[in-house]
Amino acid sequence: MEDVGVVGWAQTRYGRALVDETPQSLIYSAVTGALDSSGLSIGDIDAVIDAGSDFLDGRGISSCVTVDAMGAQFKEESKVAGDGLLAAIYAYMRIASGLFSSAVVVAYGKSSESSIRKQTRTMAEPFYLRSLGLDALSAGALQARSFMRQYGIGPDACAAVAVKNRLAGVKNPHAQLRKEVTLEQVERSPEIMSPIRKLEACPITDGACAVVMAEGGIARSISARTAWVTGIGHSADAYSPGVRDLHRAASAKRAALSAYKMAGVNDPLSELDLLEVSEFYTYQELMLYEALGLCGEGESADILKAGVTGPGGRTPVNPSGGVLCANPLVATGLVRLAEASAQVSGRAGDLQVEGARKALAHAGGGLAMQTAACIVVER
Amino acid sequence: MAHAVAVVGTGQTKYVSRREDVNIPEMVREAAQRAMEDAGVTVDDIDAVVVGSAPEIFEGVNSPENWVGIAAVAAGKPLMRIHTGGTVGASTTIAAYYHVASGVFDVVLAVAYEKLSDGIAQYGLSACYDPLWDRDFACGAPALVALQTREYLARYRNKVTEEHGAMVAVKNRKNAIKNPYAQLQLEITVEDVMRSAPVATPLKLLDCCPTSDGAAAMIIAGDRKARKMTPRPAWIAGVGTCTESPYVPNVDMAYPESCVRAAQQAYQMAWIYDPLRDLDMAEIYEAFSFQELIWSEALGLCEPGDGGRFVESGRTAMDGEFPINPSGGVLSSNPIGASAMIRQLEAATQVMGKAGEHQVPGVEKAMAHSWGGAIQFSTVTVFSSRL
Repeated sequence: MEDVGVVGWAQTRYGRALVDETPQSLIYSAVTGALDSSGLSIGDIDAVIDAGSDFLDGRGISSCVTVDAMGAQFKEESKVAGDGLLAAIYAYMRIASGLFSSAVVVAYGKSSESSIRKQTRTMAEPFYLRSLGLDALSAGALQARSFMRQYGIGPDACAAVAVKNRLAGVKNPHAQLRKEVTLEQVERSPEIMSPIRKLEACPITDGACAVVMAEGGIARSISARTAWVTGIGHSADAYSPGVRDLHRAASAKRAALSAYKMAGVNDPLSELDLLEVSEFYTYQELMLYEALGLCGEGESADILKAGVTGPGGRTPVNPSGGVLCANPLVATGLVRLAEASAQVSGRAGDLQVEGARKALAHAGGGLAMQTAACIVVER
Repeated sequence: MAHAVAVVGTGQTKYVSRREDVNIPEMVREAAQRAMEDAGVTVDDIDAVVVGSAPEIFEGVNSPENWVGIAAVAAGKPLMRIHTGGTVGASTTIAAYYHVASGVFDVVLAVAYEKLSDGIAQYGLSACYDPLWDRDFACGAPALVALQTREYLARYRNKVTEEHGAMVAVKNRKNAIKNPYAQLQLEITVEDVMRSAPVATPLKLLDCCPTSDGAAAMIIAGDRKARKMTPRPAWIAGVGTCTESPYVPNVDMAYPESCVRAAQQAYQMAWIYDPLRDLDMAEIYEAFSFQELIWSEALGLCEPGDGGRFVESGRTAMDGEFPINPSGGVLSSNPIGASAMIRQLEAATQVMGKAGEHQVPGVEKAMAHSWGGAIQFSTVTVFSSRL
């Protein structure tokens, strides 16, 4: 298997509604930015792997019209329908096969152009689930209840995730929300779907992210600070939330175990220097502490309270501020890879976790975290 | 160095215009189950699943892999969905190929499907057009391919006629009679085609594919496992894909560069110098009859402009020297998201010698082709009996 490294990355500006941008302009800006940061030009690139959502874009085969913006003209190109982190996993496999030496991975979302609740409601199949009104938020609320009841986790522990991540986001130049919030503000913000409060949910974001990946020889020749991909994993759970143990993020656990096994990580808490995870709602970050092996069952609130995952803690989680500060849907997980790569290559600027050498990027998908993808990157 | 990868089992459902006895996950499971049985594997042997489907607006379910993929044994396993328009079935297999070629996975299930009776196909395809500029006059796929056909016929007006398209329609529907999975199994004449109702001139009804419900699945395995699973796997000897911008004035629809390049890529990888000589047969994605001629030229099976003569000579017939679409092709069954995989499945089955009544004798190397989007995505896959 060939060595594969992340050698460049870029995020566009994020906003609640970027009315002056099209999917193409966002993609172009992300791809050119990522190429610039890698030192490669589009002519050096063998393959383009993109992620997009027809439903979000409101058109069929959305990749038809983004070819030029992605730099995919007359290249090997394929679209992964799902989070951009899965597209990165596909790009990794292409390069690891030895048949490709480099790839651009790009993902984008303009959530402002549709109603996210209606949009995610279509994730429910038409026979049983759709008539229940399940969407990302209501499925999340059910899961939050199940998780909190199972382990006796109070609303204050969930709210504390928002306080931690929003504070971290203040330093992140890419973040959409860069204003810190207090525990009181979170707990007093309106319940949008009990028990989830407004300040515990991710914002609606327009934006795009791209990364450039390359095989070892190229990576070494263009930069001394490559973020090497040493582990990948992805997994799916049963579809219906009704047949899952909703208080466990089982797919995230399996995805992480695969990635850890490949990367030789035995104890993530001591071996990883940071994690960037996809917490669309506060409770998800706590669930992910368990699933990703940072703590035992039911101990997530304790490690958060002890500051283990906070700034300066043993293993910071979401030093970028995470999804609670910006959620460019579809690109959300790829942003985690961009942030983790910046960290382990020492290029994270104000967000830099001192001495970071090894990090995990996580993406979640489906209703109530049905699916997950993980990538371990290291210096 | 890439690991050697082979197709070790295949499964498909009978293609019909409307399956009322199953929903999409059940239909997909049916194909997956048949592929696993053919390969002699069980759910536990599958390391990862790749799902392919065309625009999800067809079924009206967002992220359908999370629903459908689970039925195709993905619960608890790595799952990924590929979506590249008409080429998606082939792109799905190609993604599975890289899952194994990279050494990350050993045995992967690739499955693709479409249940067009659940929606309105041409409405769904019209939703591919730009909502601001094109959608007011969007009219599905036939209008686009009618433009392509016009361009082709105009360029070779002394060499290719509408009757040549009709000959493809007759040949492929006749081939379909021997394929138990095909939907349209028809004994028709060139005259029948010429007299059939216009759909989008110069395309007539019998020049067009049907809409189908159906699913196809393949088990893809790395070399060590492949040799144990079957005495004669179909090795994936070459894969090529190429994407072109959809800006119509730049695209040569009568000789699409994406197809030419995808073929070059796959041929180079598979050591094919002269495809007509080095390959034994091909499955070509001809959603409309004239496309078999256009693709034959772009794939290097005959010279540009000779597509008409190529079919007229009988060389591409079932008993010709280079049979094209012995399965009946897309003209006989078109569950859109699966169609490109069916081309690969048929080519692989021919190499494995398991095509049954429509088996071409002595196939050692075969090619599968597909196109998608606004005639802008192309894939070519070469299968070989030898590594």
